[in-house]
Amino acid sequence: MNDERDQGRGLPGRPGTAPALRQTETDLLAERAHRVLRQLPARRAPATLAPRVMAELARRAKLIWYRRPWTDWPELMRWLSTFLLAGIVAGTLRLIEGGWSATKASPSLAGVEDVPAFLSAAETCTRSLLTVAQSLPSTWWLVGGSAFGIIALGTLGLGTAAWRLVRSSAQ
Amino acid sequence: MTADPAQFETFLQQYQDMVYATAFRLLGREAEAEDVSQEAFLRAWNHWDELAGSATAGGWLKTVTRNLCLNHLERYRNRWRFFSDLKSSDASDDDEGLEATFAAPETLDAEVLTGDQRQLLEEALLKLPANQRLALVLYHYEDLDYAEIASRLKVSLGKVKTDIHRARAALLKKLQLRRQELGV
Repeated sequence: MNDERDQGRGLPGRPGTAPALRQTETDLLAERAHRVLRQLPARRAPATLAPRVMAELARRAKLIWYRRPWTDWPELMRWLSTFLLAGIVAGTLRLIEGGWSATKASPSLAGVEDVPAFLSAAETCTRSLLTVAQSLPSTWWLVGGSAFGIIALGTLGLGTAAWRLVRSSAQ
Repeated sequence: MTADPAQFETFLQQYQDMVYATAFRLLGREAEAEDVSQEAFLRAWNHWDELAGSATAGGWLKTVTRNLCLNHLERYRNRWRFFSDLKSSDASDDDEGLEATFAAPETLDAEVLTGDQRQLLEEALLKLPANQRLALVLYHYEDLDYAEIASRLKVSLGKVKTDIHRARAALLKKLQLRRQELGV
């Protein structure tokens, strides 16, 4: 190949090597590599590829419309789903904006009164935990934090070592 | 979709070797190359209305395959970046001077590989570090230039040039050593 892409883009010269000579060496290397690489035969597809693709297409064709990607749905369904989604979004926004007080006033939805009670219980639990945490001496925190750090780093180190071991043995 | 599966199957048979070869060169693993090839053809099916009978279908398919491979490798790289031991661009100077040991220019035109040498080169290509193999394949088989490769791989231009240079040098050195062994 007349490797025009290499022209003027060679690697920087080694100390003591004339730049022109260095460029020529790089060009020759590129040209030789291209010639020999292009002689390698293309790997043929395995016999399983075409049946695999056709089987997947057949499987997708059998899927009922709502299990296919949205872009493949019937046009009517795409329009309907768009309107439905827009309605849900608009309704949610309305509920967030102004509907909350009205909902609370409705006797049929009295159960929503449980939500503040639940939040209150969660808040109490959090406060209790914080109180316990604040009452612990700082040494405990130091020891606990160090133990956690050592365990975390140890796990990470073992994982990394195992990964590199597996990888190097695979190569 | 009103596409004809029989027509698509003919298309599939026609291009499957090209798609698989592209994927295999870039990924270096048979199972992953087959998965990516399948995905490329499924995408072709989704665009079959435009591709059927198009003269540019092969090019479209090759580009899609290449992009799928690069996306696949990027996902893989991101996932294992922390554990990776890929060499940085400032790798050692072990390869310095390799290029000076190769054949003189007058031998270029006559250089035809034997079956044994082709096999050696194929194996050597697969054994290259992933970053070197990928850059080399994108340059010599996918015809991307250095800047495009750097942009696609999200690495510096200098690293791409170094990787490709080292890969070429390593492959040609293997070839030369084999020839010396055989006394050619």
